[in-house]
Amino acid sequence: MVAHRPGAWFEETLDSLATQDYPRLGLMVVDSAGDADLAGRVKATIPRATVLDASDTTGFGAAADAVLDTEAESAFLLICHDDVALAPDAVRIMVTESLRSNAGIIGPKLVEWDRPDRLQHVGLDVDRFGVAADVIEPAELDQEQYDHVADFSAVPTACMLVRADLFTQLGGFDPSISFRVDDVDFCWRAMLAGSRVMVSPDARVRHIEDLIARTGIDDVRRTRARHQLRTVLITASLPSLLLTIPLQVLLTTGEAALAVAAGSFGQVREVFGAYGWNLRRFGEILRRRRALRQDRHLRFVDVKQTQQRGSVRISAFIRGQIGRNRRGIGAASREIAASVRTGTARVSWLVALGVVVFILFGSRSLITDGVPAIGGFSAFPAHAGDMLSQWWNGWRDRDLGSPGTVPSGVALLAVASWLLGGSLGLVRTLWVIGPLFVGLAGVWRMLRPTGSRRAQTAGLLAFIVVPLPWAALGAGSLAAIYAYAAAPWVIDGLLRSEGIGPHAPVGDAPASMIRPALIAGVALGLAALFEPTVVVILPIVAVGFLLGGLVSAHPAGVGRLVVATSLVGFVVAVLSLPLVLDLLFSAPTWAIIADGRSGAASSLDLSRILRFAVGPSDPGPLIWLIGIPMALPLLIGRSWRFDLAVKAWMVCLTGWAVALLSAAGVFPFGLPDAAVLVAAPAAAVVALMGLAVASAEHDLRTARFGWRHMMAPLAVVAVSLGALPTIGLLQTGRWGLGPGDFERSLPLVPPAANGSYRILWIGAPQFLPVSGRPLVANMAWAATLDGLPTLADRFLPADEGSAREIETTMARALDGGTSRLGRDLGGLGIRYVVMIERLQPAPFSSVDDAVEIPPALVEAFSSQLDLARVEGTNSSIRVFVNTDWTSVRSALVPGFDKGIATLTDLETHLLPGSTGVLAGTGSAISGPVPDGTEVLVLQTPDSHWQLSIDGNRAAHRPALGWATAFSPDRGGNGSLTYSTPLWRRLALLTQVVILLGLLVASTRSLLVKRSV
Amino acid sequence: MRTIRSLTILFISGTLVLAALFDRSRGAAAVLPAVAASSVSFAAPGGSTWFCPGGSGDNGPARVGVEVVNAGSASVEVGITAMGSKPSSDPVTDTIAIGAGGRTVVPLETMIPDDPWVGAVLETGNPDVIVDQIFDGPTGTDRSPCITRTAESWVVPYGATRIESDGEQMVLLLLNPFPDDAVVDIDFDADVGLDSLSGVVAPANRVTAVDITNEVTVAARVSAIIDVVSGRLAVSRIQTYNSEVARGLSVEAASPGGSPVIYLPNVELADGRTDVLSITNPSDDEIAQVDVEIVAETDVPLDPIELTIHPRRTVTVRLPDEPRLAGLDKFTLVVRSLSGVPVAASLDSLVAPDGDAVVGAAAETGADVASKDWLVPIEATDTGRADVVVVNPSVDAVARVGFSVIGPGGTTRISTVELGPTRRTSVTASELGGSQAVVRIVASSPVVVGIEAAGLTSRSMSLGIRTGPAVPFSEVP
Repeated sequence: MVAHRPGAWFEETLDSLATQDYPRLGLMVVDSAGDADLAGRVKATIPRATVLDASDTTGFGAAADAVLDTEAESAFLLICHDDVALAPDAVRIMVTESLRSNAGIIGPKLVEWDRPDRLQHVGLDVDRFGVAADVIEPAELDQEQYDHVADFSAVPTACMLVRADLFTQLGGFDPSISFRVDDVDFCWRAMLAGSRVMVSPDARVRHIEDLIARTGIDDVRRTRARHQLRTVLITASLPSLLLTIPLQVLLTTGEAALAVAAGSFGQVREVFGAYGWNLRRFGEILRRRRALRQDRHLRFVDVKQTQQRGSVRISAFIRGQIGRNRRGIGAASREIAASVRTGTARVSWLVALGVVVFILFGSRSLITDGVPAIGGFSAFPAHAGDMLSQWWNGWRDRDLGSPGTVPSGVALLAVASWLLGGSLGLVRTLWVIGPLFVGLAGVWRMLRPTGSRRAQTAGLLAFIVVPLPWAALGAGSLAAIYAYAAAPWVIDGLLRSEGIGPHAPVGDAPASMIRPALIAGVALGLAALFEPTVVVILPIVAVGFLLGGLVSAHPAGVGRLVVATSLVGFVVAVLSLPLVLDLLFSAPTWAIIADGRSGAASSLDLSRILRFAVGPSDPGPLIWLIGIPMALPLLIGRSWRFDLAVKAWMVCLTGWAVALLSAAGVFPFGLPDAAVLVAAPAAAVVALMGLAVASAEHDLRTARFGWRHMMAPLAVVAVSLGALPTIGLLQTGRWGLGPGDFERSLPLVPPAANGSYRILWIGAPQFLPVSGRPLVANMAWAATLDGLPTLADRFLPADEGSAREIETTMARALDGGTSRLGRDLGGLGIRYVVMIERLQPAPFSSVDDAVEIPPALVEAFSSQLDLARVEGTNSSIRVFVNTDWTSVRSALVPGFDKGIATLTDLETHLLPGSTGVLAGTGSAISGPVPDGTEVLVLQTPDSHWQLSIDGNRAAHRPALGWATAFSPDRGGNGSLTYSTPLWRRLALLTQVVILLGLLVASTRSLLVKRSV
Repeated sequence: MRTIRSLTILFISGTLVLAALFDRSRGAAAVLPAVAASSVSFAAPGGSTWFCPGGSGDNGPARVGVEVVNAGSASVEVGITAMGSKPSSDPVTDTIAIGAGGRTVVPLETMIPDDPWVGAVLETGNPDVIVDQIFDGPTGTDRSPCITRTAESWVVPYGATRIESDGEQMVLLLLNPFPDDAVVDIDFDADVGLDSLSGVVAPANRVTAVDITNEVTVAARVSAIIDVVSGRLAVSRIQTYNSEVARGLSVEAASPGGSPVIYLPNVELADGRTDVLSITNPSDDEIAQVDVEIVAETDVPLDPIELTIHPRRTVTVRLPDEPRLAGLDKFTLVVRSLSGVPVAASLDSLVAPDGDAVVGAAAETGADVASKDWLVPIEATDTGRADVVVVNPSVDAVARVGFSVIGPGGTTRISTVELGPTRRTSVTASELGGSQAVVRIVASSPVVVGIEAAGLTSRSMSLGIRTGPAVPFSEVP
């Protein structure tokens, strides 16, 4: 018996052993805790008992193995915990059965200590993953229904009779398995050694089973995950492992997804941590595998046949067995476990699972075929390292180049790629679809204060019924996806910060504003790391809440709301530190938020705004029906349900109003895509649908039967019908997004041929492959270097560098002031002009969804004598090639710019013949430079750029009125490098530290026990 | 609670209703105003590129030169690129300098010798530079402003090809100043029937001459609609008459597309003179209902000439045959498409030797925009005459029109006239101070300006050159 500071029951345990009718029973108590009183307590009941000190061991198995070091001789060992009470005939029955059945291990029927009529364990079913589950139902009444001897995959270590020779042969328990799964490991090894594992139900043993309360350590999930994987790695055959491990990873991922949905991020860490734990012990695992091979008498396949088919974990989950008797474990897991025991919660989890499956199924083609590089779904570089270096080097190639930092989301994606084994494709898919799951978790959390699991479940369903995410996916609007995912977190954070209604603290505890604001800020800040424009949802939500408080005549919490909004904004700013510093050091620009929009009126109308029809696919009129559940909490809600509903409605009205006014061209400045502006209203709609359920639960009970009661089923029908358009989108498996992008449609010459060049992109802001700058009406422009832009090019730098040169040049062409635009653009390194009229090339996009380039704009470019239209391109684009282009870095005769003071001088003074040199992108570019030439670098002048020829630094001077010419003494191997300012790198490092700190802090906050 | 609930619902409903009303009343999406494919040449503030489709080389029917006029007070440099028609004729580029108020004629045959057809592109960053093409051939002389824009569609409303019987020859000149070849389809509507020419290649940086005389033979009237399938072009027409009853040379720029309203300022009825109005409907499928209004210098109200023009068809009106015009001397025609279908119009004038007027041919493309600022280079011999015609297209605004003459010494204000709504006036070159003057016309409201000049043996007429913003007639107050 392994004893660990046993409680008051211990004497009863000892008594049960002392009163056994088996005649030759000796007791050896292994003290695993160094309990000074233990020996006395044992001797007091059984004077002949031996007490071994094994306080230097950790875990049950290692302590039990202490018996191997003794000279005790016996045919059988009864190994048991110190919290069991055996029926007087238990040992005898087990020994008899062992002899009769030739079993190596015999287990008894374990019943609950206090309620012996309730079964606790009667043998364990174990699947290929080492996961054990009882054959009985939780707290099942013992009606002798299991009273027949049977073989099992394992029996609990609480009490097991083991043949002593077998125990010795196997070397006892695995000492590295401290607690849990030691029974499975031991029984599997015994079976491989040729022994049967059986249960003799006639032997009854009462069992307390309260390890956590005694150790004070909540490590059930962690230890189980680790030890199950260890057991599989040691006992399974190699071919079996090839299948088992991938399946195990799949299951783990699913479990992690569920955990994320429940906000239980610790669980994610624990289940994935099992892999690292076993990897660190890989040598030891190999040794045990080799040792096991020597003892093996049965084939793996024979043992496998005794294993449960499928996944015990899944079937147990469905049966509701997981989570029994977990007093004292962490809050999140306890909540999950407790919830699953109820029917409502089980439905909730099934719905959550269904919603996840819905998203995955609806995105199946995007997952399998990849997300096309269109709109906001920028292409990734070929290597994750490129992304990291683009983030680290502090120079932006886009437009005409400028110092600036790529948003750190790019670096996070690079790290994620490494964590996922370098699979950039998978990371890219997760980058697009992953936020939806974060949004789901946000919805779950947002509706948790309602105290209604049904409301939370309704919220999950509403999350996929609202057309916005699918419209955003179909429109290639990554910003809208991130905004929609972040909005529930922001709404939740601000509501909790207000601390009123269901968000009020329980008892006398002061309401904490910091924690919810921190979590909301981290959520929004993380989204902003990938799409800076998402920050607009914060003021929309805050203004909506302010209005809601006023309209519902409950302005309490307004002060806290203002402070919390500022806090969230501060956290977002801190998380975006390098960008904020860039904005401070350069002229503040609104362009980063406007995303290429000038504030001009667009064709988006109110109907589309209200229906979230902001993408190519129109959800149709059925979506109006979701207005019914939205109205429900307003009509029937009372108390905080009504107040919250008013606030949610005000958020809707605020967001819709901003989108409508923006579409009407009322604002003198540009705002982000309408899909981003309506993200907060979309999340508020989700909240309203959850509140509708909460209102139905709370407020219909007390209302007299009448029209209100008719509203609830009406709302259900309305939502069901309203969901039909979304369900219809499932058909393609890609939410209406075609599979093609412009990579193969653009006839771009590789830069290696003639040197680096720029591409001038013109089109509607939502169609450009990068964030643009306003050009005319609803058109934007952007310039990128060498071929299709990648993610790092997507974001507008705070410092616009010399970008105005392009705007000025284009303005002259639009005014009819030049017919030699190509020469001017050539002086800016622009080789191609690409006009995009659709999100995707034909036939993957419809003409109906095209935004035509204004004829005047086409006319202005078509009229240029040095721009040749590339014929035969896809109908969605117009491509002009500049016949007078100059490479971004070119070698020219010294004094090449004589008489050329400004760009416009190029119209009458052509640059002499140039040769493209130093092709490439980034902050370190090298290549041969011809002798007797100057190197013209067509990018924003910056003193941190230096050209060295064979190690000798070249002098530089201004050229063409905006660029830089380097004048090396002679030719040779040139190296053009950018020295990143130290402060910028310090800012990046600071941001990383802050990011990690805030992540840890907010994760802890999420896991702290809630008062609600 | 009930009150708050009701008020809240009212507030939300009211806001949504207001939003709907706002949405209904708000304007359309912002669009970049389309640049009118105007038939009027334009000297832009930042300088223009002048496309001169050109004419023939030495010994051709219309030997061409370009006259560069510097209406400014400082000398300017103009880049000229001459282009020939032969594959071996590579473009030749040169830069010419012109002093303040000066004029320079560059015979293109000197830049591209031994080429039957030559054209040019002139580039300048100076808004005071204007460029005319001047022609000299066996049948007469002519001049017309070079075109300041290229287009993908052109219309030539009138021409004649009875070369054997009446010595009529019609040649289209296609100037492709771009680096890529252009391909054009041409549809003809002639009194002898319909015809077409497909897949005509206009090589890059070349002039392509299409002799319609060989394509649509023996036509007393032929119009051409030129659709540029690939690329863009500048197009003009050369028409020669060489018979006992008619002799002359006229060159006119083609019309880029069409317009719902077109002004033809220089119309005259005189003995021996035959003015022919030609209106083409370039639409593929829309019928144009057109009224031709008469703007005379008298107060006599005249009924418009009502025309129906089918898609891709042309209607010609011999003005001397119109009884309602009897008694009129000089007037202006306004072609107004009542159905809004854009049409193109031109006026071809031919003076027979048996009359009192100066013999010769002239042609004028109709103006599709008005403007407040114009430049008109006058080129008349001492023995000839030149009339500058100004028309006020406004129906209710009085235009105060100032005439100034630009010379080497600067600008001299000559006169100011007030022009009533829908009225025209003409000023002779002599009143404007000379036969070689460059006249600047500045009006208080948009006007249309044309010029007709007659020498001893030939005549010409054309529109002025716009230097101010274009104002579509629909926007004229």
